[in-house]
Parts: sequence; C-alpha cells; structure tokens
Amino acid sequence: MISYLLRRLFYGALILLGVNLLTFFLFFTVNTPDDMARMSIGGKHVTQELIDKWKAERGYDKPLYVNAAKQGGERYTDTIFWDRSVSLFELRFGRADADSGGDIGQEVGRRMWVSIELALPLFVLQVIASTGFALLLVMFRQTRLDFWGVICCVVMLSISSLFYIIVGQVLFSRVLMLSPISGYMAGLDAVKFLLLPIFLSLLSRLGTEARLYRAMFLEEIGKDYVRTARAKGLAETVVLYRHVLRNALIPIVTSAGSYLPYVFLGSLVFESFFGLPGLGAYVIEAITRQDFAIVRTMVFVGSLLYIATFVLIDVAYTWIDPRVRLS
Amino acid sequence: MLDDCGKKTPFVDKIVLTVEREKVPERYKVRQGYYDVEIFERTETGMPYIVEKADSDEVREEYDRKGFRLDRFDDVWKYNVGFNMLDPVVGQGDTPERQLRNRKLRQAISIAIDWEEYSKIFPIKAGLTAQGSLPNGIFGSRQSQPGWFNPITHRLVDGVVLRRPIEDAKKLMQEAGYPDGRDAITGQPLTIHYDFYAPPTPEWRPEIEWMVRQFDKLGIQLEVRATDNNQFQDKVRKGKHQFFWYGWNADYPDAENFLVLLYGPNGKSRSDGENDTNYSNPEYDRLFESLKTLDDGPAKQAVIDKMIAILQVDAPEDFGIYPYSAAAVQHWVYNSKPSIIVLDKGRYLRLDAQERAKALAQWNRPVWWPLIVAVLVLCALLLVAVRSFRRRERTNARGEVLAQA
Repeated sequence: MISYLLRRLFYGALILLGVNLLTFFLFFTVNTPDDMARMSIGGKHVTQELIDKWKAERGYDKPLYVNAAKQGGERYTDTIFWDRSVSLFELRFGRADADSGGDIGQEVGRRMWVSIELALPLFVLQVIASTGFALLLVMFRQTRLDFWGVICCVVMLSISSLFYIIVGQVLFSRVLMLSPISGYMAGLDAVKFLLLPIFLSLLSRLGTEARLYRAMFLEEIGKDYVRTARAKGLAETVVLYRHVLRNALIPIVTSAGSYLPYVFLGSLVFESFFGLPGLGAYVIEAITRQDFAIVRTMVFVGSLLYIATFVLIDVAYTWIDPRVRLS
Repeated sequence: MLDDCGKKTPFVDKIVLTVEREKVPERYKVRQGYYDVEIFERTETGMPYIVEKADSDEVREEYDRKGFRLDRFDDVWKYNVGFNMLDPVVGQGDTPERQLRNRKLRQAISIAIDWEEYSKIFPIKAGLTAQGSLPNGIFGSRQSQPGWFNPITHRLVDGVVLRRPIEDAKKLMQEAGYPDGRDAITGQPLTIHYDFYAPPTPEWRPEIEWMVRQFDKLGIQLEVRATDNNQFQDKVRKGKHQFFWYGWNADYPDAENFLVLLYGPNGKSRSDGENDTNYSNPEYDRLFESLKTLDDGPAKQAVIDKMIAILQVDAPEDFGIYPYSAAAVQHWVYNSKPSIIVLDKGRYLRLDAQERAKALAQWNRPVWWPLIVAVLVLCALLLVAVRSFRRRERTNARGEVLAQA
C-alpha cells in the first residue's frame, strides 16, 4: 500500500507540473504582461514607463519561457515561468497582481473558512439526502412512488442551478422574506446568510445524485447475497441498510468524494450569486480582473486538492471493502 | 436640500460600501431597504428603476408606497461615436476633393445614427440627443435653447426640432461618391470598421446590432471589431481605429473640458492626448487657444458658438447623447443628487436612522405559513409512505395482509 501511495503521489506531482504548464501557457496566450499591466493600472493614460514599473514590481519583466540574454541554465531559470512555478511548488503564493489584492496565502486562508461554512454542511447533507431519497425510491421500487420519484429526479436534474438560485431568491427572500437575499456576516450571524444557498444547492444536486445512487442500489438489490438475506427472513429495511447500502458504498464514495475539493474551494456560482466572500468568488473576481497570480494559485490549489481527494478515496476503498488491496 | 445649508458636514458617521457581483440581489436589496443608496459612485443607477416603474403598475405602486426617490437630472457627461480623422475613408482626406467626399460621408452617417431611437430602445441608457459638444450646465451650451439645433443632422418642422430624413443622408452619400453604399467608381460595397471597446457579450450585443442597423440604412456594411478595452486603447494609440464609440465625464464644469477633446495637438495617435478622433482644424485650434483665457461672458460665448459650428459641419464626431443621471435613493436619505462633478457627495448625505429602522421592519416581515404548510405536507407524505411500507412488509405472497405481531 505504501508503494502504491508513493506511486500515486509521484503521478500527482507530474499532474501538477502539467497543470501548471498548461495554465501558464493558456493564460499568456490570450494575455501579455503588458495587457495585464494596462488593465491593472486602469485609465486611458497608461504610459510605457508605468507599464514597465508595474511589470518590474511583480516580476513580469522577464521573458516568459526562454531568456535569450542569459547563458547556460539561466536561459530557462531566469524566466517568468520558472520563477512562478518554483514559488508555487514551495507553496509561496506571493501577492496578487492588483495593488488592492494583498497577500494571496492570507486571503486564501481567510476565504477558505467561508467556503467551508457553505460547502461542508452542504456536502454532509447532500450525501445524507441523496442516499436517503435513493433508498426510499428503492424501498418502493416498481410502485407509483418510485415512478414519480424518478420523474421528479429527472425534472430536478434538467433544471439549471441558476434557475434554482433566481427562483429561490425571489421566493424565499423577496416574497416570503424568510432569508437575506445575499451577503455575509462572520460568526453565528453567518447562519442566516448560509441557509438559503445551502438549501438551494442541495435541491439543485439532489435529482442527479439520487438517480445515480438509486441505479447503484438497484444493481446491488438483484444480487444473490440480497436474496439470501431475504430468505433468512430479514426485514426489508435491514436488507437495505445493512447489506445493500454497505455494498453500494464504493461507487457512492467515488461520486460523493469527487465533491470534496469543493468543500475547500467553494462554489463559483453560489458564492457569486449570494455575495459570499469565499474562494469561489475569489476566483471569479480574479478572472474578471485578469489577475494571473490568483488564478494560477487557485488552479494549483484545486489540482492539489483533487489529487489528494482521489488518493483518499482509494484508501477509503480498503476500509469500505476489505477485499480491496492497493498495490 | 437647502435645509442643511451652513451646517457642519459630514452628517453620517460611517459609510459602508458593499460589493455586489450580481444585479438581481442588489436591486432586491434596494427594494427591501437594505441599501440606503444604490451604487454610490455612479450617477445613472436610478435609470433601471425609473424604467421598471414606467413599465409596471405593480412596481410603480410599490415604489410610490415605499417613497423611493428616483429623480432624473441632466448631467455633464456624454456618450458618442467618432471617426478617426487619420483614416483615408472617413478621415480628413489628403486632397480637397477627398476632404469634401469624406466630410459628406461623415455627415450622412451622423444623420443616419438615430439617437432619439437609441433612447427609446435602450431607455436605461437614455439621454438628450446632443446637438453640439457641450451638455446643459456648462457655460456656452445652447443644448436646450429653443430653436437651436445641429443643422447638419436636424431641421425645424413646425417649430419642432426633428432628425433629418434618411433621404437627406442618402443624397449626401451620393455626393460623397457612395450611392446606395457602393463606391461609384469600383462598385464595391463600402465597409466601415466599428471599433468597440468591449467584447460582444450578450449585454452589449443589442447595442452593437443597433449600430449595424443604422449603417444599413445607407447600405454601408459595418464590420464590428469588438475587443477588450486594452486592445481598443492600443488601436487608438496606433491610429488603427476607424469608427468608434467613446464617452467623456467632465472633470470640471467648463467648456474647455469638452472642447479640448477635439484640439489638434492633443491627437491621441500622434501625441497620446485625449483627442481620440485625431481631428485637427487650424481655425478650431486657434479658437480653442483663445478660449482658454476668456472668462464666462459674451466673448467666450461667441468663440464657443464658432467652435461648435465648425464641429457640426466637419463632423469628426457624431455628438451622440448626454445620458441622464438618476439615483435610487430611499426616502430616509436626504441631500442626494447624482453628479459627475461632485466626487465627495458622501459628506452631504443625511439619514433618518429611526425612519430606516421602522421601514425595514415594516417592509420585511417574514411570511411563515407557506413553509409550515410545506413541512406539514412533507410529514404527511412520509407518514403515508411509512404506513404503506409497513403494510407491504406484512403482505404475504398471496397478497394477504397479516396482522401486526
């Protein structure tokens, strides 16, 4: 298992390198450091001196990939790509390109808690609600409840999350006045601002997840061990909760686990619409401002979390099913 | 507003600014009273509310009941379109004959772009159709003087200033050598590039398409080159633009601040000044230099009149519109008047905090009963499901329901 984990971590490092290169390449294909400087300085009177000063202050005054003016290894190490990549792998995120952006590490640390406040309860509730709803449908399989439940799931998954947000905001905030329409306050006051986005996000994903889990449970329920359990005279609830649920856990953990990075990274759409100052909103703001320092950091952190999540999921398999061996 | 004259400012202890990324929650929060003023630093934010109010009886009733202040004002800013005068087709021209042709083409286009229609189609961005380079409120402006208008683009019909018919523009096109939008010599269709300062997102697309339709009236093909502002500014600096959209907010309330935009030595492509059109007319430049030292009075007015007359004929820019300013302000906010010029307006605002608290409580009473009904319905459904499940559990293969153990 140790050798397997080491191998996965090695692959993970290669993936991070690839992601870093791709992000760098794509960003600087559509943007030059001069464009970034002009946008950041703003206004019409942007002189070349101001642009050069802005680039020098942020380390964008070097060539992108190859420094023809240098000799030997410095041709490649005295470049923007090298400087930016090394600092990322050392987890030194530096300052945002915008003057008002501040230290990225600090900002990520501060905003991550807002994202966690939104996404952690959502993640737990999502797993419980989707599994519970799917089990309910399986319990009533081949009945009208199952039929209408599936129709309901299809309708729910066909609707865009934006629709849930807009209708939810109008209904719960504008018409019923039960919740603030957007905004955020720290501490316990955060609860009243988080309830609506959590509920709407839960609702928007429930159809997709419940339908997927239902299919997994139905596949399990036709297997021999379930027939044996029933033949033993076990109640249907026991069969479902003790046997079927446990055996269907691997695909559920894979599916639910893939959402784990978002617990830290937050939701771009929900944070933006509900005015929550989390990491999702941070990314949107950075993209709008063409702040490469923040964008590359967030892509890097996202990749890191994805790699860590999938390693964790692999380890979880061995815990869920003792027959699984990592080698 | 004059009640607070002579009192010590500021009237509020603290101003809290909140960045809202989405328009929908922002507007709802204004309507619910959570914001005293919507968007502090801009001056046209009341326009969408004014349009909504005009469009819906329900909204009008709500706004009137809540006492929103949605006053509309003229202000000293403008949106217009211009021609790069260095361009061989729409610009100054290198021979007297070419100069005449190009000027007639610019005049024809200025007639065809119907700003009165623009204000009707895009009411949120509506404004006064500009007849010259100076908006109301600036000394020397004759914008709202009865009977005064731009004789190139407008005419007086029964005492009413109306845009010239499109036939006049077509006649000018013919005189310019482009009958029906085609070059009279080569027969090639006339194509003009529209350099727009923002990508053609759904937000901008209707306005861009509207502009294409204006040129289509003359048979001119308008090719849109929409880029981000960085690239647009770069094009203007290099003089690679042809026909473009731009605007200006006054820095100070003087005619010089607007007329400087067409002062020759300020040409952007040549000397990185503020003259995006690169217009250069020795007579205009001479008048501008004399204007700088004149105090407001008849002599200055005479100089301004001459300068505006030159611009109307030369048409290096189509004067466009002077958009209205309007703020969305709650009834407990006093001394609010949106203005481009006044940058420290926060110090003049005064609030009635008691009235705000009262209104917020009154406007935002939660309605609980639908939620209670929904929970009860869910509980009932769950109960039915549990009973049905238990019944099924007690049913044998022959369909007989066995008694509970």
